[in-house]
Amino acid sequence: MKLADLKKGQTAEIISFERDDLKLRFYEMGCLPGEKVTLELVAPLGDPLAINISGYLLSLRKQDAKHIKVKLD
Amino acid sequence: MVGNPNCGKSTIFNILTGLQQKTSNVPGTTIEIRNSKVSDKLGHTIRLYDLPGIYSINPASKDELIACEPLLDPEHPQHPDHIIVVVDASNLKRNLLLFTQLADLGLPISLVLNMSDIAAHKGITTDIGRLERELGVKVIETSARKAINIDQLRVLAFEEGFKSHFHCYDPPDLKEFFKQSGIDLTKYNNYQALQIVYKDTDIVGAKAHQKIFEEQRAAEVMLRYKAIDGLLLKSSTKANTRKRLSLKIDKLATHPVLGYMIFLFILFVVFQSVFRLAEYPMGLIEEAFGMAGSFISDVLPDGIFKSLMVNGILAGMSGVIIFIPQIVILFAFLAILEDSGYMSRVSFILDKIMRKFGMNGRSVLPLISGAACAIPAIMSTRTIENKKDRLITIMVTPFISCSARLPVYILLISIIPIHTKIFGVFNHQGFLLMAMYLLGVFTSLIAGIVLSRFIKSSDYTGFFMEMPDYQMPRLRNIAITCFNKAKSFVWQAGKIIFLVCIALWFLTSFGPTNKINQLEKEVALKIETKQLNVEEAQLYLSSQKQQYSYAGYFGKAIEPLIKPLGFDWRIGISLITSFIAREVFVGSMATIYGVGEEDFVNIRKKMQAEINPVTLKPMFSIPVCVSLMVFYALAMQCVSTIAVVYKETKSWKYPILQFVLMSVTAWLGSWGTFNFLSYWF
Repeated sequence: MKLADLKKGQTAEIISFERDDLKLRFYEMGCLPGEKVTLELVAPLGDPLAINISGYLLSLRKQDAKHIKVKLD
Repeated sequence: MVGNPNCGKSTIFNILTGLQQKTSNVPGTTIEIRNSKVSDKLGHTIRLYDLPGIYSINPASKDELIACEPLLDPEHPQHPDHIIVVVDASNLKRNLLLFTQLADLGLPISLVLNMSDIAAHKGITTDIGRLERELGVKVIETSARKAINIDQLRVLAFEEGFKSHFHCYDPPDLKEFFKQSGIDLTKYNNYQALQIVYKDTDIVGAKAHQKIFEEQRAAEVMLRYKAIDGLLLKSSTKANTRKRLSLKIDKLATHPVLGYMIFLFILFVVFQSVFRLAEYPMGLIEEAFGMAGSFISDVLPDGIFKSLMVNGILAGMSGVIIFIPQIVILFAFLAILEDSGYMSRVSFILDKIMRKFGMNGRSVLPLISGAACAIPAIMSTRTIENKKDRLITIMVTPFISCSARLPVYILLISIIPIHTKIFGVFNHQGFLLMAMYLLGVFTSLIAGIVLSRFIKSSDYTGFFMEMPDYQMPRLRNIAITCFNKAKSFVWQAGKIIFLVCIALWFLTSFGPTNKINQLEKEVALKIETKQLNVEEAQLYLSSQKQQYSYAGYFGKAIEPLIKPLGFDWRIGISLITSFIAREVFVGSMATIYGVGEEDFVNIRKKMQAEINPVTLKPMFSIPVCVSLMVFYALAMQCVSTIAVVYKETKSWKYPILQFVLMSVTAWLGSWGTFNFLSYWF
């Protein structure tokens, strides 16, 4: 399952990243494998998304969220 | 001072330095580093630098790469003696990543846990003593917003700092390896040496190398987070919730219907304020310069010097100062929106729409502010982090009809010979005015699509944006932002505007021949012989002067170029003088037709009575009027905008490109309009 497929309010654990060129950025923002993320907000037009990661809100575009593999809790 | 975006670093900097800060541009980039002298009671003085917010020393863009330079390069003139890392105490984990990297660079370092009030509110407690022991550096807790522990922070800035013994990453020893290639890295520590190797690969390295290093950097970040997790387990409690009030506001602010309504309402307030509130101070400025002008006119004897003072220097100064009210008002609102955290929500709800036009959510506010004035609008694009999106926003904003175009539209709409109602009911005036504004909006969006094909961004690193918790904006912060924006406008763009105004004064006051001198003598004779009264003579003289000045000759010279658009040399002169500001068109037309500048009714009458010598029909026919309006809507006829684009992009390439693109668009638009309408009318 991908982060982009989560429904609003669902929490999942990050498994891995499929795009190498974005991996470093994800890591730096605190999105590491093993971290729990909650999909907190979805923009009115379905994109971008906002996730709660270790207590702060991070917004990312769907196209980028499609490359994050997650496992539902 | 170094720290993540949104950690309150700028607020701290503002508190410590006040109004004496300077902004210096990092050469070759649009990044501004603020700095200021700070003195303590004992008379010691230091220079404090406020680096732009970064999440890590791994650069996300070329600009960031250069901004990190003072930290990474020990030979750099601005290499710090002491790094103060400011972190958001309510989000320690992510904020500490940067700290661990800087600690490994081996520089004296101190840690400031800012926003401690918010952390406490969330139930996060941190054991400062434990943190100090673990890191081996001085740690203090502050809240810049609540002004807690600011004195302690001021003292800290004058201390020397300690090198941290907290190491979570063991960099490879590259010194031996590079020694064989003749590169001497011995004066650096291992982590510094690694950064130098990374940096050189970022610039010139092969793709394959970049990929390996990217992996290495990612692995490094992972190790660091592991160490930070361990550190925080010993010294801090965790809270994974956001402020409850923020959750509630976000429900409204990102609601599919209410979200946009709230945004539209805020937009309405901002736009009205920039448009209407600025009118009063702008009126005062104009009046003051008018008074100064007439005072100088009375005091000085007639001649070149007086003309230079009044029409050159004073006009140039007022041309700069007149923008300050709009800049200050717009930036006051922007600072409130940014400071409160709402700006990132605007970006969030509009990102998808604006992406289609090659921009992002943050482009909306600058674009709409462009309807008041492109100058503050372009300056406000600094909130757009993505370089490509920001550049496109800067390029297309001047297409939006600004308030200076309004007098031009009004004059032309009032003389346009339409006597029937559109669709039988609508007044043509309102319809045409709206059409002009829509033309601007559509052109800017289409230009966005076109430009996004051509402006390539080499470094797409994803679009991540932190959405900070909502906070009450601080008045002091807003005031300092407005002051600094106005100051940087006057010193950077103002200089160019001033010089061009003086050049234009020269072009309109002097001519290549003696004709102007002759005319003056002729007119003097006519007054003596009572053929003309003084007032008539003045108007006649200025009309003739404009024709025989350099600008007049230039207007005639460009006539072949603008003839296909339905314009004659008279309009040509006005197009040139409009460069000072578009509304000058009205005054310029008045001068050419020999009527007083305030005499709106007579300008209209004279323009309406003007007959085209070839067609023997009215010169200002429907096609000519509309074509001229389209030209004003689309052309880059504003020195101040050009100056501000230069200031914001730090290169002449973009303003020149913009000027050429907009001129071509305007010419084609006018040509199409003129020919299409000529066929029908």
